[in-house]
Amino acid sequence: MEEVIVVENLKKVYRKTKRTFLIFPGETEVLEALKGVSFTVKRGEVVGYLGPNGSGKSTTIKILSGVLHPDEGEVSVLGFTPWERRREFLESIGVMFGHRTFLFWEIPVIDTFLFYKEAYGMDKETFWERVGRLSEILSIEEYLEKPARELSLGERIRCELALTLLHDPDVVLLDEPFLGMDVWTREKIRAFLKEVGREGKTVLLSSHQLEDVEEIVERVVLLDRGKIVFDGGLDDLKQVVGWKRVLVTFSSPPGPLPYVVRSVGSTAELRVPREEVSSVVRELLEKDVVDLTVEEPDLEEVLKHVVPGA
Amino acid sequence: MSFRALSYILVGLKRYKTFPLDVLIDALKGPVLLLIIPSLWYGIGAVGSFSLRELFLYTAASHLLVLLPIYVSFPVANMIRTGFLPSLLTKPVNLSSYLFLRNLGSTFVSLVSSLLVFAVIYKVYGGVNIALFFLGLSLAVVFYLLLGQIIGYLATWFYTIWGFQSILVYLPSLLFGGSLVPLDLLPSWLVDVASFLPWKSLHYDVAMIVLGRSPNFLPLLLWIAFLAVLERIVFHVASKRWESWGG
Repeated sequence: MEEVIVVENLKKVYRKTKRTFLIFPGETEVLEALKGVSFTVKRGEVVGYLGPNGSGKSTTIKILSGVLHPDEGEVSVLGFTPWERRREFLESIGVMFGHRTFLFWEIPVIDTFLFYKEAYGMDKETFWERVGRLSEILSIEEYLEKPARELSLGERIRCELALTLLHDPDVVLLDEPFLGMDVWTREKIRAFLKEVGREGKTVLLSSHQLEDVEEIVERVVLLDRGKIVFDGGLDDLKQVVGWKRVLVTFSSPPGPLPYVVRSVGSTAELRVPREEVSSVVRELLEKDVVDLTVEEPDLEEVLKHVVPGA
Repeated sequence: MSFRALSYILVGLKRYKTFPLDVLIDALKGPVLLLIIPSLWYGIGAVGSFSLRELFLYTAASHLLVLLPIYVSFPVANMIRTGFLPSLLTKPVNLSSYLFLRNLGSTFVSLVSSLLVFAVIYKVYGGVNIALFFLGLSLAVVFYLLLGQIIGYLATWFYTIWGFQSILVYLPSLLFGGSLVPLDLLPSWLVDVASFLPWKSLHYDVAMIVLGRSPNFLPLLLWIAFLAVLERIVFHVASKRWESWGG
């Protein structure tokens, strides 16, 4: 499959000069945000771009969307160099930074959409068809006539997502799209992003809401302090953790159990080494078991394992 | 005008939908100012060689030269400073046109009411050289648009750019540009200093066109050429510094 995002040996350094007096420069603090990051994303892939705070996720997304210039390295998105910001490139990508608004603050949301209709050169029919579809999926019909400043964070983020996808871009870059969402909104956005993936869009998703990411992506690129520490399938990542979770409920308190990490009444959570899962489960079933589940560790636990003490 | 340009203006214009009282305020503030200032000067006798006719014409012209170049063109600096620029950089939007046309829309009512009052004063007091005046006005717009962008980009180096706005725009337009008091009414040494700076060509020289003074746009054109080159250079350097610190 065609590689639509190609990143090779990407480096970015931030320099912050402290002022000694008025505008006179003093010491310069240097932060290496990206230390030679390389990865590719194929057409139609939905990739989670994860890592702790300060790992370089947002910096990468800003470079891929043409906002930032890298210090070193090669980047190609759909064959374009992002920071040249050619019109064809900007028309082919959809970008959302959850912590920043793309909506005009003081005018109704639909007026922002109409503005971008002209910017993207969309015809009237396509525009209203897209607005209708996105409004339905994201449940934003009632917000379209309100100025962005009157919306709650959750409402605004849904409108931002609609705006990101309004022109039907080939590549979608999302930085923290779940910021400040309640569970219901997150569910809506998850469903929406899965739908985007099914439509064959290439999506790079950065988020700290790992349970949401887990449901949407199949591949994860994991970043730590500016370097990639894992790039592969979500299932492969989970294999990195040497245990599985066993949740077991007994009809009465069972007495001492192996590998217990938590126990409430007659229910216990065990973290069992992968190679011992069968034998431990057999052992448990010999007791008076009401319910037993074996699970992979969730993404949060995996990340804590792979990037300890971040 | 293309639909894209129109949509830029509409974004600014639609703010009146959210703040309807601004229509009334914007419609009144220009005319009130234009009535008060010349009457005040006349009242206190600070008119020098100016007749009342000339005072009204000068003030009306000078008001447009502040409103359109400074209040429409210059706010691009604030839009850049507030961080909206990186968002726009990911969209197929011509930045300079967008910033100018959007402000044009958001000050539309002020602009129309001031133009109407200018038209009345021009007609009543027999102003001249209207086409040359509007040519000078357009050049002033271009000058402040470029200056606004340059000052806005400085936000990638400095936490606050208010100082630059005061030093490079508001104060010199009042002091060296004669936008509050005609330069003829100021001490001669100040007028001498002003002739070496761009604000005299931007405000005073252009406003005096409607009183019949021959225009000389050469200094203004040279300043614009200088700023156009400077804007490209500063943009090129600043664009490598957006969000100079962060995740």
